[in-house]
Amino acid sequence: MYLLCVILGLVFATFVVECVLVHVLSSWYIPNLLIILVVFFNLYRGTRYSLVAGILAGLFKDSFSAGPFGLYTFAFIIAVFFTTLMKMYIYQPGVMASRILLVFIVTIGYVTTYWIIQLMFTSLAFPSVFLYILVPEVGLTTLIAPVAFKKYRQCALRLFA
Amino acid sequence: MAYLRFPLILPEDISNQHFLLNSRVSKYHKKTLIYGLITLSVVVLFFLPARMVSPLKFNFISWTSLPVRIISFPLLELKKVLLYHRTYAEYVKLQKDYNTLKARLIGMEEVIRENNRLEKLLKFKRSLVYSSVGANVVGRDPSNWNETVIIDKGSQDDVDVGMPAVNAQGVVGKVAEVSDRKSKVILLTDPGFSTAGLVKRSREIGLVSGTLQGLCRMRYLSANADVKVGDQVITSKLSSSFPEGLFVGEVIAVEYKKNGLSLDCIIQPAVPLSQLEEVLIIRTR
Repeated sequence: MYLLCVILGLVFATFVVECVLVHVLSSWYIPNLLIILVVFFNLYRGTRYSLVAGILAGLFKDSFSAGPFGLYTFAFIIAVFFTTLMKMYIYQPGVMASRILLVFIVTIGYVTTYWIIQLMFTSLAFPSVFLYILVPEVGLTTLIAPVAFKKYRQCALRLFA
Repeated sequence: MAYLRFPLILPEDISNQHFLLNSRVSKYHKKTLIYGLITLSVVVLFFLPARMVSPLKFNFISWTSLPVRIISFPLLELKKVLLYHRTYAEYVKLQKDYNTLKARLIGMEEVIRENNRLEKLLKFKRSLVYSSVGANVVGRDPSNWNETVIIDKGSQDDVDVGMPAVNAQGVVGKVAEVSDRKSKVILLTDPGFSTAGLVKRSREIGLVSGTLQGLCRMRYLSANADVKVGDQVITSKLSSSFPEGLFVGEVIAVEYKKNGLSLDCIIQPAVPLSQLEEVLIIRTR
């Protein structure tokens, strides 16, 4: 129960940070901090806790979206399973580069999944998704990943100790 | 004595190993089944009616908007101080516009009086008079996919789904979801937004919708439509949500389709949507 509360708290705090960034930076692109958190939980605590974090993150994002409810949740769940699969091939414990590569690949998978599901409801051409969503989101998320991992690790060490 | 190198396996051991293997396989299947069920249950959510999930969404928005506003406030104030030169330039421009408009208004008053007299004379009654309600922007969708804002007015203030949101500069968007005290406004630049638009100069009609670039696209204009860069686009009376004549934006590019059947225009929205703080909801019902 304590672990669940910690996950909920971390997801909520990350979501608030994303909202504040959007509020303050307005027209700029923002990194996907929640996907970094999901990858972090997957590496730190395994698929089960990562799944909980993914579902919560998806529900939070779906609440603010005007699109059909559940799109983000579904994309996050797929991202969790994708992380579990990819970490077997990519992740090397203690190597930061492997973590960043994992975030890079999982973010691509997450954006692609979201785009594919959204095609059921809205038609979005892949070139514009690639140029205006995939490249900025993947780039920024990968750039911010080392700092975010460090911060999440510090939080986890204090909260899970 | 070579056979002694191999472990002696009794039939009981074999059955135990089978049991262990079976339990591991069933555990693995059970896990996969649970993960599969979780994924499928989320797919079901897509098709749930909006009224079923709306209370959950807006409850969460209420919890989140307060910490976001508290944390954002000092950061926004700092941003205002850092960007004071931009604000000052805008102030100078607005002061200039204000003086010009004030001079024009003096001449207009006489025209308005004359118009009133003529209206009475012709017994003409305006049919398009709407009431409106002002609202503050309290939240924003933190994603690169959607352009949505949360406002602090809801069904208690007679706000309803589909009502247009505007400000002094032009069209902002339309109300997508409503709760008692909050509503979600889908902005003009969201890919899910669409409304009928009209090129003011040539009266060409098309469908205005959002793009991922923060601009709008006007589609389905006839191939020989008279549209130029710099033309103003307003809402058309064909629109089911918007009253006629609201300023949408300015054409910044004209794209000719390869098939030659139609052409598209790229529109720069009149309202700087990234700096939105207040909107006006027009009660069209």
